[in-house]
Amino acid sequence: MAMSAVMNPGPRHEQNRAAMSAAIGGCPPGASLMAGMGCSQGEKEGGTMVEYTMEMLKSILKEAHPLDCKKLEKRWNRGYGIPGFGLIYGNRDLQAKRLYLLLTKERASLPMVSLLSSLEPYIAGERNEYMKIQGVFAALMADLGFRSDQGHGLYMIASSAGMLTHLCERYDEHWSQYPSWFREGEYIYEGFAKDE
Amino acid sequence: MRVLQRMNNHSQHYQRIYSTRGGILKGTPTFMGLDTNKELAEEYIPVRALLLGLLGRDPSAQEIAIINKVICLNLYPDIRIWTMRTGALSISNGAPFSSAYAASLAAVNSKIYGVQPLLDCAEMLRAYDPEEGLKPFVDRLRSERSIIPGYGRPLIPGPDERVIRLEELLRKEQWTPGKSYKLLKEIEFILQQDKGLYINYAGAVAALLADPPFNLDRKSMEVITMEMVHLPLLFSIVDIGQHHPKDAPLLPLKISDINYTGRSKR
Repeated sequence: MAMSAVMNPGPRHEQNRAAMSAAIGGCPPGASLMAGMGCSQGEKEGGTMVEYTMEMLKSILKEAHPLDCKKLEKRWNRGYGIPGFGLIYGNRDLQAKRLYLLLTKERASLPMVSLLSSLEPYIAGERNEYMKIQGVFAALMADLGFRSDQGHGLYMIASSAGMLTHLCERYDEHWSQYPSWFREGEYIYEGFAKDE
Repeated sequence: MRVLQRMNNHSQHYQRIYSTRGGILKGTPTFMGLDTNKELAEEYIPVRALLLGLLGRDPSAQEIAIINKVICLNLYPDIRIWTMRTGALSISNGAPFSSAYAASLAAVNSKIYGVQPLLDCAEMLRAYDPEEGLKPFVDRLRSERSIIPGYGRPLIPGPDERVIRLEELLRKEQWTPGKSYKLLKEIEFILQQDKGLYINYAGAVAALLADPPFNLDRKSMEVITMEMVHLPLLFSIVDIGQHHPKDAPLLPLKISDINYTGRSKR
């Protein structure tokens, strides 16, 4: 259930776009998958985010501290927000809530999933951010007894299915059908300039 | 000592390893017979070492200068280009630097840009048999392929300014076109008249490397191609990673840009 839920983050997601960018030029499926997989281990919405979420949840449970969003942020925010939480294209991730409800209906005792859900009101209040699908996936992996590095890899494997689907679709297209903009005014150079 | 002993116990069960390029030989790090800590570090610049590794001999000053120019003419990081875009997307998703680099290198293995057009062009030029005749050869290519490797540029019509500049710089190095380069130009004349196509940079470099003094084989050409692309790829990633990690101007798609034409819901 969880692997299906993260199977395809959609054609707007960076990892799928990386794979699609490779495939539109005719890169073989293996190379295009490599391009996408290189991206899918990301800290923002990839395997590393899953890994950090699992570590964060395990440490909260172990240390049994009262929930303090500011401490959580100080310790776990490495530039991409609190792992497991955020917004998707500026909105709440509705898939995350759906997966959470399905999981809790399926199995009553999921302490990490419940912990993640219990963090949401605090984080939503402080940062206006909510559970993400990768966060729920991570929590479930922790509940199933996987290590955080395994959770990282499992996320990448699961999401490679959507990657493969989207990249293969590009093989029937001309390169110009994949959105590209090369208009002059939209690319601005602001770096080093040779002295006149 | 115990670790070394364990490693040496294992090595009795394996075949020997052979290398034509170097390694740590009797405790000395070596590349092409040279001690990397001594001769290589003291006397060589990277392009000279690269050519030493590919040609199996010390390159001339002309050869070094030519490859240097080939690399520099292509050194423009632009994340709108697919290979660099892949790396930029990866770094903006928080992937480690090396993974973002690996992702962009994977995207270099493409049919319409990167490694494949260069290798295919060299192969095409080498396959030409003068007995067939140039026009029939070109006509056959056009009937067999939708893209003729080495010609045309997807994004910018007209002559490739890098090719024009490369030829100027090569002439300053007293370079004279070899058989492949001459053939490349002859084919261009026909394609220009019929289809308005010009030699692209991949084609020019392919012909240059196929001819003397380089006479490179396929694998060696891949190495030069990777040398050509790796700096713009790296700098694209650095640019996004350092300056625009979250707000990378990566042409975000809108929902309205996506048209689903698959199976409808059951």
